[in-house]
Amino acid sequence: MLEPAANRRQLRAAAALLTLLVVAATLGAAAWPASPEQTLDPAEAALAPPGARFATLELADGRLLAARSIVREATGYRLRNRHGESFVAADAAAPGAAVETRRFWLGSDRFGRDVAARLLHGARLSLWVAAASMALALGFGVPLGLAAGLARGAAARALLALIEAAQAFPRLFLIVALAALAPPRTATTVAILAATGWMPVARLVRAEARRLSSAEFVLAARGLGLPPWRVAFVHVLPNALAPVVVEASLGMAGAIASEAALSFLGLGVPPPAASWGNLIADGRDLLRDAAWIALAPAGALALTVLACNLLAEGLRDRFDPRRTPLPS
Amino acid sequence: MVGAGAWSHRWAALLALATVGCGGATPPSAAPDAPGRRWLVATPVDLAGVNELVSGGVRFSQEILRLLFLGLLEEQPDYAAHPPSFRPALAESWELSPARDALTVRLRADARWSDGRPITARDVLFSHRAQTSPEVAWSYADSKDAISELTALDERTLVFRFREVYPYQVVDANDGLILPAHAWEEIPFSAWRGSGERFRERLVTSGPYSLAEWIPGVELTLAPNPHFPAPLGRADRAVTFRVVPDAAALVERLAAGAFDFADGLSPYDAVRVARSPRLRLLTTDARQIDFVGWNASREPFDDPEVRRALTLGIDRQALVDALWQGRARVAAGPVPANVWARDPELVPWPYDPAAARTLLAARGFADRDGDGIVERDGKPFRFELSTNSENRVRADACVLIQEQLRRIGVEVEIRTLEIHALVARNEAREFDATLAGWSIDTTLDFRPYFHSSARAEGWNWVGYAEPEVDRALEEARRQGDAEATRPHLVRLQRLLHRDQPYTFLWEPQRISAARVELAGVETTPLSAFGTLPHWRRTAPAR
Amino acid sequence: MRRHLLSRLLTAGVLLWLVLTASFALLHALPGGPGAVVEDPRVPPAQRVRLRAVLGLDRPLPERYARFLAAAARGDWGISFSSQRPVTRVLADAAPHTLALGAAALALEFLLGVPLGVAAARRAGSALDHGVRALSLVLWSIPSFALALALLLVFALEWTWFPAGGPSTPGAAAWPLLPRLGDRLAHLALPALALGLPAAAATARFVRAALLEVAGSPHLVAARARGLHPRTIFLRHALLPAAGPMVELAGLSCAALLSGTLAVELIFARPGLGRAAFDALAARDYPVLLGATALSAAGVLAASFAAELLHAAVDPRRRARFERA
Repeated sequence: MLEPAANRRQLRAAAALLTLLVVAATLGAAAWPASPEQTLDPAEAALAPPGARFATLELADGRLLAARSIVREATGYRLRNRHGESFVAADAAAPGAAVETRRFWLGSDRFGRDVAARLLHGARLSLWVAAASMALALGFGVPLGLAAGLARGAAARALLALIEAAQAFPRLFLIVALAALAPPRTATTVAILAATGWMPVARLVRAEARRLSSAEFVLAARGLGLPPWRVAFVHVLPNALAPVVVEASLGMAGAIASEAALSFLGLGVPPPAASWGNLIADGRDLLRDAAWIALAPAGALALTVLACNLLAEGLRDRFDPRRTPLPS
Repeated sequence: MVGAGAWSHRWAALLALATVGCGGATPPSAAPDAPGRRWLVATPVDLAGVNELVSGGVRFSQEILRLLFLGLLEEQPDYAAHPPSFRPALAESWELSPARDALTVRLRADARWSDGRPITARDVLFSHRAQTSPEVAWSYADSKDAISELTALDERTLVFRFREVYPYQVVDANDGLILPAHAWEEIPFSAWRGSGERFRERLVTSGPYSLAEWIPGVELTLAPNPHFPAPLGRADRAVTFRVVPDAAALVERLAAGAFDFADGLSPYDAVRVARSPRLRLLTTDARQIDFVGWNASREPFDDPEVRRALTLGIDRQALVDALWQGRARVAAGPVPANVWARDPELVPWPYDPAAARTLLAARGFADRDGDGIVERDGKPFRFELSTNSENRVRADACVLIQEQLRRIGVEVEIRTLEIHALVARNEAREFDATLAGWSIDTTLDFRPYFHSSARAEGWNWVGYAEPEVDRALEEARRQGDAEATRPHLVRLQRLLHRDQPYTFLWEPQRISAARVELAGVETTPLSAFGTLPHWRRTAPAR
Repeated sequence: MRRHLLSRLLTAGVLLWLVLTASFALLHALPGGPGAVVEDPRVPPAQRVRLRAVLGLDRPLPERYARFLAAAARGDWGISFSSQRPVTRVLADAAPHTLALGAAALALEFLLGVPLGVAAARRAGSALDHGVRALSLVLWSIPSFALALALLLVFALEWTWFPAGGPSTPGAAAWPLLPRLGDRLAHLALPALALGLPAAAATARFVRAALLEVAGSPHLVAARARGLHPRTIFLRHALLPAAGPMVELAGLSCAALLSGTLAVELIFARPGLGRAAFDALAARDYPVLLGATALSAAGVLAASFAAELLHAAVDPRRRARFERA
């Protein structure tokens, strides 16, 4: 627990970091000149280190050649590349083609794709997947938790049993089974993460709802004869919101990390889409030769998770320092 | 190389002294190379079971079983100029009758199980009964369909009788390993599919090795079988196979010197291995062909010209260069380049995107709305290419193919699926195009792949039906020996080349890695471990 | 109290049944049959039909479900399709490795996390406190598979301080007890660190927060006013109340650790329940999968039940609530 001043600093730092990440992800992905999917002459431009620069030339058949330098000569183009020198006749080049330069700020991967572009697009995708799955988890877990907390008797026990059974269900099995059942798309990954992430939310909301169900204003609302759903959503939920927000931040962090783990195991967003998990998996066997391919997304991942965790802690201390919800 | 006792002694000492503290930075010393020190092989998968009839299993499992058990004959990897020949294994001689209706086999006199008991006709009869038993339900029992009966003339002589004459009689008679009757007879066939432990307990082997220890999922140790006939080449030391499921960790440990040998490496791993001074790469044909299968029951893949345009639009050489770095060949058909029945005049379609575009235009495809994708009758040429997610090379190939086809105006959506989901979809014909592969049998019996009847009963998922192909396949089947099937197979290849029901992509190499000082290692298309008994160390380990 | 215990056990039984039924249904909704037969392209579809019949997979689903439940109640979890061994044997081989890994990680989590959290709380605002908070934040944010990879590369391959994988050295089964134990511990070290360090980081933060929360409470002020020795104050009035939530945390950690071992088991080539389930799913080995699911769920339920009991034992307020509920 922090004093208010330190707490405010932490919250500001976390919020700033997260905002930066989101902006970088959305705007950066859109504004970055290179495409995350376009390959460039794998024989020459693969696994280039950060900062590498290549000259490119488009050929008549649509291929893009890359080389260290391309010099226009009378009858064609002279290329100097990894393997030495070669020559391309003028008519083999695409009509109106010019020698251009491509720079890989974070290097290139196995197919000559721009790692920086993939990182930014991956950020956008990973953040979107995490946010969407969290929203789904909340959308499912909050009403269920409210119902479980405010209900009485058999209904309450049944709902609690449902939540506990879902939590005891082995996550891995659920993940792999869902991944095999549904077509491997981004939406599937969102569904999988939501399906494995709603339980802590529901438990938390249930605990809050139970605590509040004996509060005076709830009793009063009930006494007035208001319908249960109104009591739940208008009276109970707003007061239970604080821990839910904290849980949502922690959940985001967990979802981002889980998406990475899923893609690492081959069960997440399918290639060639760039997500942080895919990038780490791609770069996994190249750690000796081209460490940046895996390190960049891993670092970005850790940073984002860190920011979410900081935010969650700051929010928790801010809203109710007395409560110490368990980290998920 | 980590010494066998280094870890435990260091840590046991810590335990005994109850000293808390980091385990020191002294690297363990390399073990002296004791002659007879066992071989250490890394493998990504484990042995599936000791009884091949019920355990199925991947290539590794089958190859290990061939170190434990012998068949009647041993197929040789000499299929470049002629159909593969056979060497005697358990059988010392065999003879097909002039009418080709009976195969007489005579067993070796010095063949023994690892408990000393002789291997006799009783074992062969037992194995045949098990192979054809509906209760055992061996996956390849259909190879014995043409054998009407198997009788023993005496303890060492048997006769297979065939219902019909066809080119693969000897191959089919030889299919399957010879199992120990005296050890496994007591287990009723109906219980075979639950008796994995019992088979292990009563295991006796006929091959150069016996099973010394097996910790499932961790390691497998084979020890030399002293009863293996000396003329066939006895092993001189044990070999331990360590299971390392994560491919990247396997390669890292291999490069660090933890293992003597590893098989089944991907071309990406090969790059890593090639850079290590401790290791050398071994390659051999993998007898495999990867392809894109076009679903002929869906438009526009029902049109051979469209399929040919797609083939022309895929730069297969670039795929091979980018993915396999020269460790594969561009494929031209279902018969690999160095297999006997290959059509010598067959050359793969070139990469010619201009011709591809022209061909598509001739079939009515044109880009009328300027979005870069061609359309016909208002429908853009867009399709889904599926493959199995476990195979990195195929998944990466899809990415490159997507880009190549974009250049001729065709849009590809990639879908990677788990292998079972993929196979289920393919069998249900619910796919546009699928990137898959076949393991090519050296008998080259292509009926289950290309015959029109195989659409229902075989692997003709793409739905290819061409009467001339059917005729060629049926003619081939009617021949008396494999060599006579050659002209029909050549005809088959030409027809496939014309019709392109598949765009054949590449014939990969099988990649293994061995420590530099390991000699006598030879990987063949039939086995990576066949020469294990002959492995030798040429110089002591550093 | 006993009645409550019984009712909790009954609930656990119901939950287990729910999990099993859901697994059964989910499993049979998956595309593709038993993998070992489907994978090999040489096996013709006709053979596959035959094999399905032999394995009893062609019977109607409700019948298979009933048979499965009846057999499971008897203790017969069937035979693995992949290895033809009884499922109980397969799981019995795998479970000890996961338990060892989980126990080691849990031990690390508490042996590292609690003292660090306590130290940081006692010297709140100092350099030590900031250091612990920063380090724990970083460790908490690294996904365990990434940490496992990093540990493998640095401490096993680059500097060979630890073995690079497997549960033991090849051939170690024949060694005498002490070297064998030492060997196993050496192989357990890195995987346990990969799992335990992030958990230790979270625990340190939690302990610190819990202690600081208690620090300002009235009864602590009163105790200090009474002139009690600082250590007595700390142990009896600060640590003890925080012990309850810590026990619950242990229970949750158990569950999380048990279900999170897969990536580590894969990277370090260790056998275990996570890997057994993963391999079984890849091979569509239904019996092993159902058995592993049941075992895993039972483990999670047992851990949380034990944590609840311990919490009630430690904290009188919880005990009362426990008895009332």
